[in-house]
Amino acid sequence: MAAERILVVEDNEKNMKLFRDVLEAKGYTPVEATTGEEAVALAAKHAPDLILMDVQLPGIDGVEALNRIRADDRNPRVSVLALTAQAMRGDRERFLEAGFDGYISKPVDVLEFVETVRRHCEGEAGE
Amino acid sequence: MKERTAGWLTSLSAKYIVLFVLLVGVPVVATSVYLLYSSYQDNKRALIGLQEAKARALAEQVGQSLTDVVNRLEAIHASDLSAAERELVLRPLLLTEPEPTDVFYLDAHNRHVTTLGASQSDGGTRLTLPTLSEKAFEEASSYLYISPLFQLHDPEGFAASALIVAVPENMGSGGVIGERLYAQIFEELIGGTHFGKSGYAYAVDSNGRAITYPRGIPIRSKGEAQVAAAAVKRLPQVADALRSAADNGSATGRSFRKQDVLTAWAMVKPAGWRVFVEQPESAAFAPLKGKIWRTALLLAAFIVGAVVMSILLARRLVDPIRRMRLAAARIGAGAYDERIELERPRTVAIRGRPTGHTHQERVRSIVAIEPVRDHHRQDDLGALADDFNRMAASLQESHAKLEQKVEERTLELQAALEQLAEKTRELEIASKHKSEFLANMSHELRTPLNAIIGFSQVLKQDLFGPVNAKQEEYLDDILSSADHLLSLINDILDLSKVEAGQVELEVAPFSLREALERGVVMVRERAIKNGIDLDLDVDPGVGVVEADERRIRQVVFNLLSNAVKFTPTGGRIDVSVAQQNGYVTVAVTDDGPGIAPEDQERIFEEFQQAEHEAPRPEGTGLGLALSRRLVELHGGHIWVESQPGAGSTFAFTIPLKSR
Repeated sequence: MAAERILVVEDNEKNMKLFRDVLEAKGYTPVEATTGEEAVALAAKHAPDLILMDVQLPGIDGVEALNRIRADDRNPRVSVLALTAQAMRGDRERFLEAGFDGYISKPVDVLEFVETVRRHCEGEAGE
Repeated sequence: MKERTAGWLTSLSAKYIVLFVLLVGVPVVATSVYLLYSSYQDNKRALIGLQEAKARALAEQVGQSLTDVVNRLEAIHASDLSAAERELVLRPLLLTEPEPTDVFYLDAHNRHVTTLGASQSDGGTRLTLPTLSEKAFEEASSYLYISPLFQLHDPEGFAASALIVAVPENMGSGGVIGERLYAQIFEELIGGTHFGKSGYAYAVDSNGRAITYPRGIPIRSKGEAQVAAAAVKRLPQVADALRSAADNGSATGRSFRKQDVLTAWAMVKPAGWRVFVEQPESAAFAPLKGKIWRTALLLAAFIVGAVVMSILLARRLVDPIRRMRLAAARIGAGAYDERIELERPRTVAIRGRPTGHTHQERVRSIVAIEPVRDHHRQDDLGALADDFNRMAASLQESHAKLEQKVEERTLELQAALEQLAEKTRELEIASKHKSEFLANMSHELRTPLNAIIGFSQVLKQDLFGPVNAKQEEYLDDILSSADHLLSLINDILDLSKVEAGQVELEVAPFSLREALERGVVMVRERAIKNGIDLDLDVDPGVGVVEADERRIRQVVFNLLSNAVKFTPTGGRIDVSVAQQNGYVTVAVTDDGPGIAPEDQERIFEEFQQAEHEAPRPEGTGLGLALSRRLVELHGGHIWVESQPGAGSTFAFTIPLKSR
């Protein structure tokens, strides 16, 4: 099954390009946001099937964006994965605790990345 | 501290005074009493001596009177004379002193032959005839008879004491010549005696009957005479004297008025009478009494003077001591500026030449009372006060120094504490900054790596068309370099966190065997590729340990990957685990090139590897440094045993239960 809309929030141009190309190549429809505010707006507008959220962003950060998206009752329940270069010990636990549904550390392994996205889009339990 | 408010009469000065008075008073009183007593004794002895002499003299005189009487009687012979002739011989006797009442001649049969005198007068005042008893006659005719006193009543009833003296008639006729005499004849001699102011004399016969009476005893009638005689006889000194065999003596007796008297007596030899010379003690010692009074008065004045002197002296001695004590107490209470000033007693100075008109003015012009404060006391107490003041001054000085020092030190300490607090704040900030920096570093390095690795993998996976062999080889090189870079970043961050003290161990029980097996699995592929024999030998006793599993696995992996890296093809690696005394030891032994002794410590430092000939094996150079930090964090240690060419053994040991 394809054509799921995936909101990718990423402020780094190169990385955005990588994720977009990989997701498109795998048949997804990426929607791009480069700031937290934009992510909140696009989440409301497009009702994506999955959100991949960078954490360290200009303006509000990923965690705040997540909270705002979750706080908006009009949004359907959507999985939000942290996609972050904050990969030090304890970061993973920290983000899961903050409400993310999954955690992908940068640099990503492309195969693992694709697999994780697939799993979440198919609504499999766990990460 | 509260000052004791004792006056100058403190116990110390009281002691001084008592001591002083005892020292002065006791000897003076004792000496005075002794002197008075011996003076009394001397006085008494002297008085008694005088009285005795007087008594002896009186006795002598009385005796002489009696002897005169006896002599004139013995001179008379009557038996060979006619009655007329005898009368002629005897009559003159009536006229001689002492004057007899009667003169008589008794024949050998005690019969009156001739009697002349008062008993023969015709004037109507005739007395009784003097007679002798048989016994008296016998005594008289044999030698001498002096009769006891008896009462002679004149015809008018007036009583007087009288006595009879009789001697043998000197022709040997056996008759007796005698006289009767009034005892009164001795009155003038004895009764008239004065001795001192109130001394007197009296005499008694051998029966104690008064011959003369003590002066002052009233004898105006027969009755009174009898009472007086009885009183004299009862006097103790009279009885004593009559009992005594001695010729004279002295005693303290009583007067008939019951006064104490000094008595001296002497015996009148021929008659056995006693003559007493007496005076009342009160009169005898009257001069002495005055002396005693004067002495006592003088003594009292002297002692009062001594007390006053001692009080003054004690004041002068004790007052400075008391003042020093009070000053010491005040210093003890913190008044370090306390000093004492002992004044010299006021002195009077004579200055210049007298001026002025009146005497008073002239005296006033030259006499000046020295100002007190200028004159410091010069004696031992003054020296003591000086020493005391010097001590107080040095105490004050050192106290001031001490306070200043304490203040300085306190300020220094405060400054140091502030500095320390500032440093701590700075350190906290620095630590926070460092953490933030590390997190940022990690983030910023990983972000570009994400693109490098991601794009390389995309290419390698032919997502956008196939790559040729050479391109694929390059992609592999890019990926392995990126992996190396990533592990370098991870190691640096780990090491930095450990060094910054920001690593907290997540201690939990886990199976060491499993952890080791997982480590071996991770390097086995590469070992096999290099033809290395990898063997794990876990002691059966090794089970669960409590430690940070991820960190221990990190260490194990580091040691294993190092071993695989440095062991040449066809080599051998042995991993062994042993447990002893609450510690487990993991050892990884290879048969690689070994490490020179000089390198063995160095390799645990950052970015250090043993010297190698090229090619230098890849590695961050941080693995052992990080491993050492992690093992030490667990309370264990890590070391290497190696000889060049004989392989190496890297081992670490950790407690079974880490904190």
